[in-house]
Amino acid sequence: MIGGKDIVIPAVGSPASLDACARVVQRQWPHARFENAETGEKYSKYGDIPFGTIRHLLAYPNEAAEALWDADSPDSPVNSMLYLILSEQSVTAVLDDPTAGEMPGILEGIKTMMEMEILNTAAVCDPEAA
Amino acid sequence: MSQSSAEILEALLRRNGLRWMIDMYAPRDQAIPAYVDLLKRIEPEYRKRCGVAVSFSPEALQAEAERNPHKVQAFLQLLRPDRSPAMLVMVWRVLQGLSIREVVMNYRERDSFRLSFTLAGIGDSGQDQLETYQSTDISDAALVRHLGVTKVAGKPLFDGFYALRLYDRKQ
Repeated sequence: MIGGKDIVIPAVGSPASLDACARVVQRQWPHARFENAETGEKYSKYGDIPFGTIRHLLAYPNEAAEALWDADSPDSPVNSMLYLILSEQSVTAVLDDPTAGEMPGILEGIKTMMEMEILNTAAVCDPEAA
Repeated sequence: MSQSSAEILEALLRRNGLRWMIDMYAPRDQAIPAYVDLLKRIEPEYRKRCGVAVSFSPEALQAEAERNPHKVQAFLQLLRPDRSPAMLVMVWRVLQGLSIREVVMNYRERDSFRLSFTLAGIGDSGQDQLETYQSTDISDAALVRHLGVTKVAGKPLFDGFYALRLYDRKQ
């Protein structure tokens, strides 16, 4: 079972935010695989994920880690799954150990991505005022 | 161009706060045909560079908008009738997950402009596959403002293309 450390990161609760999180995961885990935590639908790569319909996303570092979880194996290594939950004002990362392996880099990456201006700054489009 | 394609694209633009792209085009009634034509020109460019066929028809974009509305919105915001198809392919490749390995921009007042993106994806062999896209059209500088800009361990990172969060007061 996943250890259950919850890390809450302030974010705009949009598909673009969850997308940015998945890009961070893919950067740290180049062979990452993903899954819709609510439906069980699997995605073998980032480009297959329908972010517009997902708020609960599982990420595995690779196919082997995913297989161990699918088999409900007690041998699943620490941080072999990351559970991302998109809410209205945050992204929650549920994981085993925030200090182990690539996880510090993933969490720092998500935090800095969620702070990006383009995700947080609104512009007004008003041709009449231009 | 079928009427339905035009209607689909117009609805997509309106739904994404981009009605101004139609209203500001002259002549206005040629806006949608110009954008549909641009979308058609992206397809052979994509096939040439990536070796696979991908549809950029309004119908395909509408279908993708059901799955990834934020990606389609970012892509639509970057449509301009004079935008080079190659640079739009580059944007789509980043939206598909390729990383941005290098960006070079060089500008000389009233003389020259050059923008180059090098993207990296993982090939079948597991090795990085690089793709380079270049433009000498200064209007492509607008692409840069859609980049995700961040740092990793204090080092610079461009990651992803994102839609500007536009609010059209006329919608």
